[in-house]
Amino acid sequence: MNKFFKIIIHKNDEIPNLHGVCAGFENKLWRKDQLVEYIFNYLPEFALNHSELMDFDSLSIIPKIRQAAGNVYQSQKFKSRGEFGELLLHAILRETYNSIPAISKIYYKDSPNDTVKGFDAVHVIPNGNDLELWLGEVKFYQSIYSAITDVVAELIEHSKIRYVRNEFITISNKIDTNWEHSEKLKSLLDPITSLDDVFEKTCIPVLLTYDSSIISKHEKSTEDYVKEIEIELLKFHKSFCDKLGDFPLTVHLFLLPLSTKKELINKLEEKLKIWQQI
Amino acid sequence: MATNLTPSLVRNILRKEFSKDLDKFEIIKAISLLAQNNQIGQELVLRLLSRRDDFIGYEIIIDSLIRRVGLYPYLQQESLSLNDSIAFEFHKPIGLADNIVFHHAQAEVYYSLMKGENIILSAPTSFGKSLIIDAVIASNKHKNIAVVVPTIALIDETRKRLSKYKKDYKIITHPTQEIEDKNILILTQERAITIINEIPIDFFVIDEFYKLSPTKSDSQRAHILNHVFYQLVKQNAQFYLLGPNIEEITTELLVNIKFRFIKTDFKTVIAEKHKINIPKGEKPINKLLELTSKLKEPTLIFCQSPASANRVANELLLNGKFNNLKENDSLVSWIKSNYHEKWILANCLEKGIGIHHGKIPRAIAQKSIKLFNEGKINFLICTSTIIEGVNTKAKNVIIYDNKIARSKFDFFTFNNICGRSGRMFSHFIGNIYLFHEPPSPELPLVDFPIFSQNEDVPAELLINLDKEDLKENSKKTLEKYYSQKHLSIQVLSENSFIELDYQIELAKFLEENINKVESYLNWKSVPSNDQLKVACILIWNYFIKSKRRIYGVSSGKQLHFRINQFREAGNLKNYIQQFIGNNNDLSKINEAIELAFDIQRHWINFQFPRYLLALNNIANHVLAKQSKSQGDFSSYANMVECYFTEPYVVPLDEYGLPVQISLKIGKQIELDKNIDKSLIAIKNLNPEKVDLSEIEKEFVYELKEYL
Repeated sequence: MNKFFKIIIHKNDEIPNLHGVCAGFENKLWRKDQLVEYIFNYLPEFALNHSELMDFDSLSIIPKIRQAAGNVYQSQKFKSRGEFGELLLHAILRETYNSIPAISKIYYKDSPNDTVKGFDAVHVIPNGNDLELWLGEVKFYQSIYSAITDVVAELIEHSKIRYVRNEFITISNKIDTNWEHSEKLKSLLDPITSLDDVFEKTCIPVLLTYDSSIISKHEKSTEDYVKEIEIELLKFHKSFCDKLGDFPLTVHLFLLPLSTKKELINKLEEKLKIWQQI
Repeated sequence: MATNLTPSLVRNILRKEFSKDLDKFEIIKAISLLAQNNQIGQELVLRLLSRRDDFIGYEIIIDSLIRRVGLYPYLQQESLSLNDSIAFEFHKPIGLADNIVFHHAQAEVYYSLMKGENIILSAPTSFGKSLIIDAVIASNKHKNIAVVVPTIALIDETRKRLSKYKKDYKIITHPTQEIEDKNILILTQERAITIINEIPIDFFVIDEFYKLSPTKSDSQRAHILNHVFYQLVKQNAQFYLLGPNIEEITTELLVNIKFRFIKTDFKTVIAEKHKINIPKGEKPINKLLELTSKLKEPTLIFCQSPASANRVANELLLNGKFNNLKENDSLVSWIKSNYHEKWILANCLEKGIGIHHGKIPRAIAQKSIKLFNEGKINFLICTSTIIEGVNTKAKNVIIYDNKIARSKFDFFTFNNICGRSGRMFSHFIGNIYLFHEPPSPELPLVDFPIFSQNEDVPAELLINLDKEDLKENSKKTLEKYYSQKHLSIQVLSENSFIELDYQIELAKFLEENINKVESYLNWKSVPSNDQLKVACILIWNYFIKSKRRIYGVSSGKQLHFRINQFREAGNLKNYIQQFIGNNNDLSKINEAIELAFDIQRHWINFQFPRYLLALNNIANHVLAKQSKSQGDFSSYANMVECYFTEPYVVPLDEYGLPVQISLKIGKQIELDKNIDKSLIAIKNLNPEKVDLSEIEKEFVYELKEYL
């Protein structure tokens, strides 16, 4: 798939690093239509696992999976639409790091309460000879401040599990055994592998969205716009880092400013409604 | 706890009561790792599901594992994440009830069919192969759909299942029914062959397609099925062939016809096998009695033959551990007064035991299945009819005999019997109790002789092919039939369930003796006694040519006698009495009852009318060539087929209404000769407005439910 997001800033000199991206403009409008269309292209691999993708004819999948998404939308269960942030996170990870959704779920036991928890996205990324495990979090929010507050609290929770040995359950997506990294993935999932080793190779990509007045003010990707939005992105990166403090895991921060979340959601619903009726 | 839990350790843990200190998280973790391997993963996930209540707090992980192995029907939709919810929706076929979702392998077949591919599917019993038919029908893409099934009992079962489409499609189960704009034809091959040429079929299904490969005991029916298959393929209809446990298809079809063979082991339930050890000197029946007294859930007991089933039934009755159930009382007394008061089936039903085999009258056999499926009887003693004829499922299957009739069954049949254990949603794990060593694991290759045309494919089959589709060696085989002058190819082909040489021999005989036989063959409507006798003798001597006794008949003369005897008896109860006479021995009484059933079903209702029409066909050909007037045996054939009563009794019996009850109704309201009209009359009938007993009304209500 062609790259969709416009990279405003990629700040790589410190950790957590920053990917500041935006959807850009077209015909004097913020590209919400195109963004919705783009993320829905990822629906098949977002929803289906490897063997399912292999067994179904890829061309005939798309209309049917769109319809399925439409039906899910109608079911009211995902009324807040916050969950669609997972699809956004999926798309951004795939686009920026060419990650592989080889694991569908990771659960861990939050002892002593024994409640089971999971992550918003689990991908792997080949890095030289190694495989990195990427455990994603997303806040599909309007306010950047609430997004930062909520996600930091969650990250701190996550970091504690580092000390809970062997309390993971991973559910793989059944990657082809021909895949060059399949043996490595197996050993990563093997309970004999020390969690310290696993965590050395674990990254946490965090995607935060927010309503940005800068985007609603502009209608073209001018130099002025880029300058203004870059300053804003750096500001929020800093407040995120300050709030998180010293953190034991590698975090990648993705910031995606929206014109408004509301118009994006409206667009999303409009599409889903049409597809559901097909 | 050890992290290296092997499949067999996990299996054992999940089989037993959990110890208090069991680390459930570890168990699930082990399963998630083992689930990397498909087969074992699926089995362990099913075992985990059977213990779902013991894993409270872990629901979301269990759901993820279920989703991972593709067992969508077992997912709890409300708690799924967004991506899993979309995947779940994706696996729902359009047009079926909202709670129906396909598992991964079903969805694959379904989407391939919806794309227009021809599919031949080999999958285990619990796969849910039939549900895919429903989904294809529900798509409303097709105008005429044919579903070819091996037995009349399956016609009825399928008809009930598909009756939900009656708004869009006329459901046809009998060749004489009127065709409408959109139709679903549910037919056996014998019925299909008479009408499929007149209806443009877009999509067809052959259930239990391995029956296309002829076996020693069933080659005649296999040939007709091949013929049906060929005609439908020639119509260019899309197809879906389904069956269990087939290794491979060894034939290609016609040049331009492609298909995909999908072989899968995808199971939705698993079977736990238990070997029953029988110490030397002990009788197996004692072990069986011991076992049945322990099993509390629905149990099938597989026996090799009706005789063996009766013996087992008798032992269960004698052992005195089964108490009388009040529940089936009215049915029991109805059976006693309409068949015979000492019939073993009635006595068994009284104690919650059913018997199912090929000799039992259709409507009563169906009723037994229904009672079993509803939990009103807990044991069903059955023969191979249960694996080939109907789809019933139980928690437990006891394989008491390892034979069908006199020969040992193979692994294929063994698998099919085992497949009757376990039931989706209620019994994730079924139990199989083995009284014998299982056969060695070897699955069949299936050949479609009409397409392969190997050396051993008989002329009876080849004669039905268009010349352009004949291979060189087939042309040679047929040469002598094309060059003879006695019978036309059309006549030979129409009667091709009878050996072609036999047909020609008969034609020759008739030609040579035309003056002697003419007056015996030109009758119309009803024959004189002598005309009937000659017909029976010709049928026996030229078509059947057997010295053996077949269902109570061993000569043409005896066939004639049986037909007259049946007609004179007036009804089945009297007919049964003629065979029993003054006999008082219970097993002799049962033999007599079943002999009467045999003759009724095999000769009266099926073979004699069919042979009579073939005789008519051949005789007319000879008579016409000699410019003599022809006969018309069809109305007499119909009369015999419906037991010398009313035409509606046969279809209504097939739909689950015993002959005695339909005749009773027919005396009170007008039931037309025409099947469609008689069905409409029953549909509109208020059972409270006619004089019927409560149990008889129950039969009528059950029939109306699916009309």
